[in-house]
Amino acid sequence: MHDEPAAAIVVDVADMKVSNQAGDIIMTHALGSCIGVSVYDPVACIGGLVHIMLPASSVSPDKAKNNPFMFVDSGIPIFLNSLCKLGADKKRFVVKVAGGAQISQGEDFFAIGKRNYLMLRKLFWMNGIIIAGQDVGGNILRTMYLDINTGRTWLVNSERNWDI
Amino acid sequence: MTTLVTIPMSEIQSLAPMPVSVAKLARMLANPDVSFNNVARVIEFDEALTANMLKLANSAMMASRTQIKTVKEAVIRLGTSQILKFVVAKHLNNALSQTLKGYELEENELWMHSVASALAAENIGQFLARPIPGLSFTAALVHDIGKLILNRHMNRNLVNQIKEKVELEHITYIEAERAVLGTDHAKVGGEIASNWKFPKELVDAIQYHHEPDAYGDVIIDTVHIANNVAKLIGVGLGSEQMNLFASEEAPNRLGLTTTSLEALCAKVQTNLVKAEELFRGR
Repeated sequence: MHDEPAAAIVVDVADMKVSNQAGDIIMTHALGSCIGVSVYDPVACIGGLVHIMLPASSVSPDKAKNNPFMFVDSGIPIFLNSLCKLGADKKRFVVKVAGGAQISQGEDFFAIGKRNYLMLRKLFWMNGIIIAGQDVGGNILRTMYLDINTGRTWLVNSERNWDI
Repeated sequence: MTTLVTIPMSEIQSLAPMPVSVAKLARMLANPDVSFNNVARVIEFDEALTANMLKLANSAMMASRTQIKTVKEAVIRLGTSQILKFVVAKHLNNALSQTLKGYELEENELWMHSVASALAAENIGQFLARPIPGLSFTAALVHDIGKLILNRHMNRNLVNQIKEKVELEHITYIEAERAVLGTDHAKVGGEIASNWKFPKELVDAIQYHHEPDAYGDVIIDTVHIANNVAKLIGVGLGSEQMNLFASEEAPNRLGLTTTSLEALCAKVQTNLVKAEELFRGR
């Protein structure tokens, strides 16, 4: 991939990473219809990144038990709690969202990207969380980065490199 | 301006030639009522195949308590529908693992995409009221095999032309490939499979995996959905990204619901991690 800092902490698919180390950069590769969420507390300098595949754990409760980060509804609450446990404050959360791409010539059946995003919006809305920046939808691939030192969140693909 | 890529037959033939026994096996396994004895006999004629089959049947993945000593036992243990997939996977392991610059696929990415698709084809049956032919697993595994050859003819300029067409004309990547190159990875894949003397069902599934609605065939539908599942879980997106066609009719024909589609994605992702550990020791 392009512009990948040497020591980036990689978040796998259906996984999360949180950090309070100023030098850390957390990244996740190739978000397609999957959704990436970065959360940053600018006062405590604590942040994290989660890479989620699917909207609802009800389709496979046993998988959600083994790996809650596969699903929005089971993964996001645990992700946010892990940040709070590290010392972040929910009131200061700066939340950014990327991914949720769609297959270009397809209708609702395969629209997992859209369903991921809608489930995330609903969950955030219920918890009073505002999305500060996002780049979602379309048919493109996105690799997502979060800099724990500054909270800067940016996206990279083979074409370009842009902040959200 | 259209650049036409012509691919000589010698190049099609040069791509990982399949042993005669594999083609024979493929044709036999197209018949769902094939006997274990007949399959075992074909394998026994090929020493390398026999060794691989026994090794696989006794591998940790099969979790067998008793040692498998004969090919027939191995065939029974693995099941006829799994055998062809394993043989072909073993044979193409290196070819599928290479970096494909012409498709912006890093090392192992096409391998992951192919294995994810094969896993989707294998697992989709659990969510359907109808059986899925075993040939679908192999077809899903090799559905993008044409990319291996077209990759050699790609350069930065052609890739950019294809991408630009996708963006400006709002067409799928394979349509743009066809417009720029005069051929596409599905068509070339079909030619390779046909050169391997694979049965027609398998050749068709490779060739038409992006256009299932014109055929309404269960193997083509399965491979089409399997490819989309691999894309949806973000495996092997490459330069094509998400610029492809996803038929609403194919899942309808098979009886797949959206809930099942999502459960299938979860299943494939979990199994893919296991397959990667097994094959790559990650």
